[in-house]
Amino acid sequence: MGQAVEVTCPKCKKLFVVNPHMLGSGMDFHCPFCDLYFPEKDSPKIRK
Amino acid sequence: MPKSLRTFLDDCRKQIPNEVIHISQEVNPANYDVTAIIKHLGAHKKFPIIIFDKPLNLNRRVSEIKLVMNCEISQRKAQIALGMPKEATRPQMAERCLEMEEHRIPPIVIDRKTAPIKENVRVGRDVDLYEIPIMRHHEMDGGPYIVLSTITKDRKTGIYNCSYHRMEVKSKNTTALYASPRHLWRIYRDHEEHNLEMPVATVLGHHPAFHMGACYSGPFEVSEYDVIGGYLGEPLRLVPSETWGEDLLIPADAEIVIEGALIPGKRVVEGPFGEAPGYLGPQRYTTCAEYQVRAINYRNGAMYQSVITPEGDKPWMDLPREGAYLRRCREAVPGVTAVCKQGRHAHYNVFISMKKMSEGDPGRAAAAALTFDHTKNVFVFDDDIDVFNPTDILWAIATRVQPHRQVSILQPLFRGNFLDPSLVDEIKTSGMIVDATRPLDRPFSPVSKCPDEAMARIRLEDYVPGEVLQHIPTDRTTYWA
Repeated sequence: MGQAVEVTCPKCKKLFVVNPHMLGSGMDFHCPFCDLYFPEKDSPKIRK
Repeated sequence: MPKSLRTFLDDCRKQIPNEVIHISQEVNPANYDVTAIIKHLGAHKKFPIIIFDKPLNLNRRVSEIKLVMNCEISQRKAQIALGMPKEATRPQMAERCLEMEEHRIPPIVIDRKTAPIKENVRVGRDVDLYEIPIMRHHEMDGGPYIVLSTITKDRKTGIYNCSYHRMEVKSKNTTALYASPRHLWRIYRDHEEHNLEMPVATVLGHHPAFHMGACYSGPFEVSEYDVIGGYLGEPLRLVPSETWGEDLLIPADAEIVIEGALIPGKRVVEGPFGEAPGYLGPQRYTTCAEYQVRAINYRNGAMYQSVITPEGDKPWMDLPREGAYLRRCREAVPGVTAVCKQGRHAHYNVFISMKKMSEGDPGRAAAAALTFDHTKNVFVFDDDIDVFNPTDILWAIATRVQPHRQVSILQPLFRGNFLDPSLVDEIKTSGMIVDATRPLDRPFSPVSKCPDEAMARIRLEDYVPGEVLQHIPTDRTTYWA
């Protein structure tokens, strides 16, 4: 397991990194670029 | 006069006047303006203390609070903070840290009427972190971040703990505090198990000796206000907090202190954040607690202090650790002469020099270093190697190491650091010991050198006069020598 997972924001489409423990946790991701909070299922791409 | 950020700045203006500058233009710290200025200066290897006179706050108005940067960078500033001469070497400074940690001075409590930090107090609905010129440090940071030391108190023993934790500003009165599993987290978990709020305060500006004392990494049972007194060389003056009264005392001579509670059972998403090792620490929540800010105390003409990681040499953070490693490694091998924990690699690498008395000494010293902190790779050298000089280090590794005999790869048994991007496990790391010392049990070629007699007899000024020497350009294009 690596320490960084790339998540794509559904709104601004930019990539940011989250810890693997965020996946499946039920916690919303927070896009640092457009300030959107969104659930994992809304991300168009998650690269592990 | 009690030591404070102001007395330190006065000392610097007297001793290094060219290294204290003001920037009078408006800057927006939340839009990376301050980061860019410091990075541009850093590219010139210049790290002056910068006082931003007109920073914008998070409400995008010119703040009444100034922003002070770079107090933590450079050895000379640390010498001034600790009252040491400029000739003091880095190992001597680390030794001094050990002395100060051993000669701890208990704090004193003063009346709030005489406490500068109580000149302005905002509580309840008047609390507004957005009035402070808080920075966004790096691209992809999750938000504006506060990065200085947070204070709490152990519920059972009453000892104070001070430590650095990043915290992302989430609203006018909340932050998300990220804690690695060290002393503060232990205290928080104890409160959480009893469903109690944990009292906290965060110091956003003080004398560098305060911040160095807050980097102390000794036993849990030591009250770090006493250690800070040792670093200051005088009792730290304290005053009751607004939120917790005498149950949580805060520094009376700080510039700004925010205070409140870590909420039990509440986790908050925070990050990413550009961290000390030089990479973005990913967004996370498991060890991120909600910090409710319930009061802000600040002096008249307050100055907000921040740091940028990993820019420059930061003796603030590194020196107390070098002292701690010296202590630990010497317990294993008395011949240890210096330990380097300097720079952005320092979270995971340790460079040790020693007078080797026996084969096996390097292994013992390295093992001692591996028991501590987040150490991953340990390099051990003879005492003729300056462990603060990368060229010396690489030369010794190249010329004194046979890898199959002197490099040991250790299984991933060690607690690593969440911020190490090379980890392939959630938290455990492997390790490496490189013994770059000369063998004692066989002849080894001596280092080539000019005879000491000739160096003493030949005086350069007799052959290359000073007026000629000063016009010969210094070669700054060669990193390797």
